[in-house]
Amino acid sequence: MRLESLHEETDEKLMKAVAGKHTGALRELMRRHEARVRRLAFRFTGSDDAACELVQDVFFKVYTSAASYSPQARFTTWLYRITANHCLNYIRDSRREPLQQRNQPIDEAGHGLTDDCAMEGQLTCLEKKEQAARVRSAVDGLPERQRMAILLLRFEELSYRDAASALNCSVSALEALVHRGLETLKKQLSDSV
Amino acid sequence: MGCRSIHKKLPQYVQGLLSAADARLVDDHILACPACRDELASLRKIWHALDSLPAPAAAASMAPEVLLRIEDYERKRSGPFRSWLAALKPSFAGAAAAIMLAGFVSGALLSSAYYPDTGQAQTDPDSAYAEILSDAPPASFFDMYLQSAGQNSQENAL
Repeated sequence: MRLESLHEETDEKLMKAVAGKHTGALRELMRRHEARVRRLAFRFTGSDDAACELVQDVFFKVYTSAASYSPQARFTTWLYRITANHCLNYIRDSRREPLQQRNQPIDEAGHGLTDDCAMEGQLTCLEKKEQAARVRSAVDGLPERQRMAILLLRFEELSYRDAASALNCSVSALEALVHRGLETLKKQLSDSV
Repeated sequence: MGCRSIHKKLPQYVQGLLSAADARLVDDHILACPACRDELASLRKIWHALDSLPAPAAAASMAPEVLLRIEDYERKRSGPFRSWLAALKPSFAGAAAAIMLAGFVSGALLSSAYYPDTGQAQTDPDSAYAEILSDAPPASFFDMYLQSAGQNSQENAL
C-alpha cells in the first residue's frame, strides 16, 4: 500500500494492512480516530494523563489484535469496544481514582470555560463552573458500565446497537444500564438542573 | 405500553433514535400521562446538563509513542538472536558469515589431517570409551557404564 494512497483507503482496508504490520496504515487510522478515543477516555476518567495513556494502549491493542478484526464489523464499532474495555479495565485493575483532576478547579480540566468567562459575567461563569463540577462528580459516581453507556450515547452519538456492541451486551441490557444511570443522575442533580 | 416501558424508551426519544412508530407511541402516552411528561422533562434537563462535561484539551498525537511501543514489541517478539542479526549491518553480517565458513573449512581440514582416513574399519566406540574412562573410580557412573558395555560385548560375542 503506497503512502500517498493511505488517505483514500477505507478503515477496513487499512486494518488489513495493519494486520500485515503496516505501521503507516496504523498511523493513518490514528489520524482519523485518535480524537474520538481520547475524548471518550477523557470523559470517562476525567484525566488528560489517563486519556493519553489509554490512547496509546488502545492503538497498541489495535495493532496487536489486527489479525482478529473482521471487516464485517465497522471499524469504529470495534474501536469503541476496545476503548470501552480499556477504560473499564483502567478503573478496575488499578483501582485508581476515576478522576485524577477531581479536586482541580473545573476550568483547569474543563478547557473552554475560560473563553466563556471572558465574554460572560463573573457570576455566570462561576455558576457554570459549579454546575460542571457537580455534573462531573455525579457522572464519576456512576458504576463504570452505566457511565460508559451514557457517555457512548450522549457524546459519541452511537446507535443503541453499536453502543451495546461496544459494551458487549444486548440492546435491552444497555437500555437498563442507561435507565439506571440516568435515574441516579436525576437524583444527584435534581437540585442543580 | 406501560409507564415502565415508556421510561426505558425516553433516552432514545430524547436523542431522536426511536423509530417513527415507537416515537408515536411515546407521544400518545405522554399526552395522557403527567408522570411520564415530568419524567421526560427532567430527563431532557439531565441530558443537556451533561453538556457541561468538558472535552479534552487539544494535544499532540500519541502516534510516535505508539509506534515506538510497536517497534519494541516486534523486537522482543522476534527474539534476541534475530534482533541481534537485524542490528548488524549487512556488511558485518557478511563478514560474520565468511568467518564462520572459514572456521568450518579449516576445522574440517585440520580434523582430516589429525585423524587421517586409513581405510580401516572404525574403532568400536565402546572400546574407545573404555580407553578414555579406564581411570573411572569403582562404583562410579562411568564404571557402571564400562561394566554394562563389557557384558554387552560378551553377549554379542556369544
